[in-house]
Amino acid sequence: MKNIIQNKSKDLQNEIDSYLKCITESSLLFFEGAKEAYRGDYDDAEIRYRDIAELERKADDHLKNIQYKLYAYNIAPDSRADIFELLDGLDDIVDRAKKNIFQICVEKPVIPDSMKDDFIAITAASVDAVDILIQGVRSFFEDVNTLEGYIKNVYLYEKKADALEEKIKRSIFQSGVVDELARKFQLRYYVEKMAMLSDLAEDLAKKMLMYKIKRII
Amino acid sequence: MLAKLFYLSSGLFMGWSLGANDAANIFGTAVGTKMVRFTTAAIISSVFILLGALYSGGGTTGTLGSLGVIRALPGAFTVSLAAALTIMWMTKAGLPVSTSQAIVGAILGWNFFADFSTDLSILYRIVGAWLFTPILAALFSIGLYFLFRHILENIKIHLFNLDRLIKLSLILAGAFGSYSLGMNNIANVIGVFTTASPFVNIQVGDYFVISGMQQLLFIGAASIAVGVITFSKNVMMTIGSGIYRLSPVTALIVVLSSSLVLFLFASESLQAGLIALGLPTLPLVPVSQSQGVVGAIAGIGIAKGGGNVNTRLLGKIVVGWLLTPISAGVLSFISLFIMQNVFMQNVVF
Repeated sequence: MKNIIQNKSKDLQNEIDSYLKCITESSLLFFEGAKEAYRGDYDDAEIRYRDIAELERKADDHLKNIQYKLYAYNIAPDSRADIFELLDGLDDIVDRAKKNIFQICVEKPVIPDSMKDDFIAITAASVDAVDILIQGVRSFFEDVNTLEGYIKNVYLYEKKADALEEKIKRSIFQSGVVDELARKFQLRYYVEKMAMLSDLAEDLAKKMLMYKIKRII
Repeated sequence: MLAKLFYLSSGLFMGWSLGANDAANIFGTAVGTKMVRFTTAAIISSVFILLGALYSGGGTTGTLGSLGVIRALPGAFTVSLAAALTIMWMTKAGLPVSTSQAIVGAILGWNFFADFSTDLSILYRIVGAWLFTPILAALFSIGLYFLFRHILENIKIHLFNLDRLIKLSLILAGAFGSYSLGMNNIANVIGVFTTASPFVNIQVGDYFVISGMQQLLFIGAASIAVGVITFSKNVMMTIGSGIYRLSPVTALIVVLSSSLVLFLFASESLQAGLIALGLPTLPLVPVSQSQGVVGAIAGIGIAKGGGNVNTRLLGKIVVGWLLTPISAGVLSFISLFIMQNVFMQNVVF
């Protein structure tokens, strides 16, 4: 009863808001870092990596607070497991992005000039999928009736990333631009990891749609 | 006086059992899904059952009292005990059972035993109300389902604010449900004791009198409240997480629909209002809350477009409808015979 009178949910709303800001910022930094790495500016990409790691630490703290408050304040008991899984899923995406940047900074792959634009495009498609997903998560909380539009857009960007993945892979293995098999494998690895971000976004979007359906009376 | 209180014990047992089971229908989902704490639910439920019984419990009680005028306290005790035992056995057998049907069956058993004619017009009204209860609850829940869906699809509200709103609504609906339960089902607890009541009027000061009927209503309502506090928690947890789990909004619709039915069949002021307007009225009859809940859940199924009818469950309900009053009637007849011829108690006058 006390819970209903005192608006403790406002506190939780603010915490979720801060968490989503961290995720959005990480996504933007990842895109900038990836572009720098493709251009060969590894020092700048390294700085982005460290910024993302710092933001991820902050996001983890917010996530712990969110979990505590959801249960301690007994807010939305029927959907709190879904809420936590959704937010935790976003954390996994940032974690994947951080690992991608780290790997690039460590391995410093040489990307042929003719493929750089495609690498930027696939990264952009994945980042767009993640950004739209974050907007969808906001609408899941604030206005669930608009959620489906965001989910459709996530699917759209994931398809775009898939198409680019296929195109780049063919280019790596069939164009003859890259000679060594080891380099071909290395570039394929990065293409797959960049596309994986949009796959993760799509998986989470599907789950979010299920959570929405569960909320429909 | 001790003997008189002993004779009331079967009615109090009925009240306790009603509180343990029927309060769970009202707050089960809210408590089982942790939307509302059990303590909050138990306090609200007890208070509003008491208020409903004391303020508006007279209508349905009067109807039951006129179905069978039991003047001897041992007779009332036996009739109430027969109904309580029927409920216990049928619950053990896994059949859906209604307190209202059991008590009416037991009263009819008394009428046969005492060779009193049954007022068939009252009986028809009661049986009609029983049939109408799940239908009316289903209609209410269909209407409420579309109303709630329309609202939820057209408002922009934060998930957490919606959660607060639903919690508050569940508490308010629970209070209304408890009030309706108190006003409608108190008759099942004390209806048979109205003529044979052991209580006399108590004069408090110069102007205030607590009538025997008011004392009877209070003690009956208190027994329901004790049932809520002592034994409803387990039943609530079972409903909230087991057999038929409902979402909080669906639970709200079910509680509102079934409570509205109980309210309509018990409100004397509503009846007076309808009479004043020259409109047809609903009889003041104790009806089964559980059957109202079943009807409301079925209504939501229909509203969602579900065409599947669980014929096995439907069959069980029909068997329960027939078996409950018949078993209670037979048991009541046999018990009255034993009470009169073995324990040498006057059960008729």
